[in-house]
Amino acid sequence: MAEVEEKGLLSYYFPGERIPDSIISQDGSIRLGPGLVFQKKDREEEIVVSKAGRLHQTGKNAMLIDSRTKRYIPATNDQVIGQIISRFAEGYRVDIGSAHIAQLNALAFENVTRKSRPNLNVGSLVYARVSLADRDMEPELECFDATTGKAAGYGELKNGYMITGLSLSHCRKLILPKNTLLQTLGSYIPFEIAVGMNGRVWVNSENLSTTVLICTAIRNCEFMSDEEQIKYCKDLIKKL
Amino acid sequence: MNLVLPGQVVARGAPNGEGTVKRGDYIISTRTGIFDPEKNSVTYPRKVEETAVLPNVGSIVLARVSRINARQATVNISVVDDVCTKDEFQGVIHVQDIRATEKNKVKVQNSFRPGDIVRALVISLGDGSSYFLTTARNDLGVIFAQSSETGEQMFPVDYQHMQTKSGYTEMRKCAKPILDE
Repeated sequence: MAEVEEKGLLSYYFPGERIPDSIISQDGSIRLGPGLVFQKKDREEEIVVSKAGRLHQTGKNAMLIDSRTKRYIPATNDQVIGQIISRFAEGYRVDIGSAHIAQLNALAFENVTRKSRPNLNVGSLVYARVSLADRDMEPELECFDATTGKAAGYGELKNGYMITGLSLSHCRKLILPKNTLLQTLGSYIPFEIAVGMNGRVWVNSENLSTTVLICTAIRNCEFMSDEEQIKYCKDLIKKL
Repeated sequence: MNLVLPGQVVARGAPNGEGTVKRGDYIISTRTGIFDPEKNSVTYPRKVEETAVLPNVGSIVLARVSRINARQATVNISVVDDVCTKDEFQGVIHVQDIRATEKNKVKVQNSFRPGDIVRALVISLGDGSSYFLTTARNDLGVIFAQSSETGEQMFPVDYQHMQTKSGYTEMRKCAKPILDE
């Protein structure tokens, strides 16, 4: 058990292991990401790991287990890219790549009343936030920021191309503001991008060939170092 | 009473009757039932049709939660006023009918989970597909639940929490246990 004591940040954990109290921030509430479970046992509170991977502490009091998984399990406040599967009276059924189909209420958009509803067709893509996620319930989506009520980038994704089947850890890296790959690409080509936490990325640019280039770069750069990414991007753009 | 089992030789020779087959000279039963030597048949007495029990407004029912969403819990009613029903009936517990107090704070996922057995009261015959039930009383609510994390049986510790033997706690709308004097 001495090893457990030595474990710091960015170390590997296995399912069932307990996160030592020494690395849990004691002030304020803690936010647990995928792979971590809070348990109350005989008045003792503990955080237990539920999947194998590396422990990340992101931001203030937030922790998650990072592993190269592709299976998306919805969590509240995740930003996801979904595809409309069918429409019904009160909203839409949306495929977000999870085990269950998500529901998107027709009134869960910015500036929507009962008279002015959004008109999404079957097959179109939406960028949405998971508003309800539970083990026993169908996930629910919203297309606005819960605190401001504004669209905040959510809504229908028109044109462009969607990459599917990326690993969730890759998406988690892409969404960081200082992502080397996207910054490098952005300095050469203007483009729009939406990164979903469900392993999907949507890209739109002026023409098809640049869109294909960006998608290729995103697919292939997962295991490259920053320097390799920059070099790879420059090579691709030269070939364009 | 002459009880026979499938495959059992019941007679020889004579023509065979209902519920039997002939293999050469032997008559063999194909059923579990009563053998009649005169007809060489095997029959089983039909169960007398029970008078159907139907939930009524005011009935106390036991039901198993089949699925939940943010607005309601759907249940299968299998016991009405301490009598088992022949078929299960579908019932619905709306979120506003789960608790009597602090109704705006109630969350379905903190009250019921699929698989729970619930004691409930019928408040309306409902909408054609399901009866409407309520658990807004101390003696109504979850009476049996297994932990969704460990699968162990849970026991109520207060009106809103249930706990496994190992100490794992989950939220439920618990019914007050009926204790024998």
